[in-house]
Amino acid sequence: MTTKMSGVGAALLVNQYDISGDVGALTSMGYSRGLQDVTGLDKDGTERIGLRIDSEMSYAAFWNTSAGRSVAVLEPLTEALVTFCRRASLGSPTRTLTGVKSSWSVARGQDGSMAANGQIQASNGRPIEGGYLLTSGKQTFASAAAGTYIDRGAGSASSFGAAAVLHVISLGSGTATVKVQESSDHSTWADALTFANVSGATSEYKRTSSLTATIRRYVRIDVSGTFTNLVAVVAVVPYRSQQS
Amino acid sequence: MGKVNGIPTVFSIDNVSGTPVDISALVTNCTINTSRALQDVTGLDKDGTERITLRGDWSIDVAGSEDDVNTIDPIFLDPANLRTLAITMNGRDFGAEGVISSFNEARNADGSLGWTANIQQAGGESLGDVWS
Repeated sequence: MTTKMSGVGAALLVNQYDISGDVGALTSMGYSRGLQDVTGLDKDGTERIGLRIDSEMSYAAFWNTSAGRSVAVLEPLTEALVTFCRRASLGSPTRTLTGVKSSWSVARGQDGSMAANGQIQASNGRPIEGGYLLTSGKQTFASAAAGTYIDRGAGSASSFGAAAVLHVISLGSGTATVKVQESSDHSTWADALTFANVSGATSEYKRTSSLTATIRRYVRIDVSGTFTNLVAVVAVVPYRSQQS
Repeated sequence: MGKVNGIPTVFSIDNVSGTPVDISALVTNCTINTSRALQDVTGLDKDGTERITLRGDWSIDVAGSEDDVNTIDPIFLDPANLRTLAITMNGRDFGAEGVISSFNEARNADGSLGWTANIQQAGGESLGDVWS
């Protein structure tokens, strides 16, 4: 028996910024795709095949002009790596989109209220992707350490590679290396992918070098290097079907 | 008195691997639209309209909630492959092959989280075979 979930306690990361507190709603996040009618002469019903997928996220934000908050982060209509976390906890479902901020509409109401709505549309040829948080929301690593693993369940191993996203909110000092690792027994771990070395706030979307790489049941992150206080959010998207 | 409600309804759809998943508990409402194109074949000699039926088609709009084990993710987050649908309503069964056309989630200002999807006919089945 599963437990139905609300969206209370969610989080939203845009590049290296956590703007969860400045966004009141994600009014839509998903995809649509073209369909081609391929109905043969011999059919009474309709045959279709799926075509290209387009994804987007739309939000309703509050007005916060502080550094690294809603106005500064969302107003520039530039590229954005966006991750929605249903909960800010390890293993929580995530939605990740690499897109371009395509609109920013500001409304100043007669009552004095101030708010903004906007949209982010896919830009890297990938649809919105569903995965899991590998950190407990915005997690602090005081020094090199492995993260707690998630268990994707029996029969979850797949051989279609994976994608992962890294949002580094801040780094005290030094250089950190963040890897995503996978295992069949949560004892022996293999690297699935390694992000570029981190020396400050940044974000990165990365896929496994092979899209036939096996991602086994257990997944975690491993943080190495000499550094202090890495504050980061990491999510992994183990692919369930052949990707292009 | 043959009138009945839709309780319970069973909604099953393949995940991306082709395994049927019963998501009845997560579907809050669905609409199955079946239609058939019509050709106007009214002759010059007619005062009214003559029509004949053409190809059939169906689509499903479905909406629901989410759970703690990401049940919907392997179904809707990866739209690859055709999906077998099996919907059992009160006294009627719907079964066919569809393709996922769209999927959208919303996290609303009140904290609610939900999704909608549209699935369209892909298998070319005759409408007469879709409902049983």
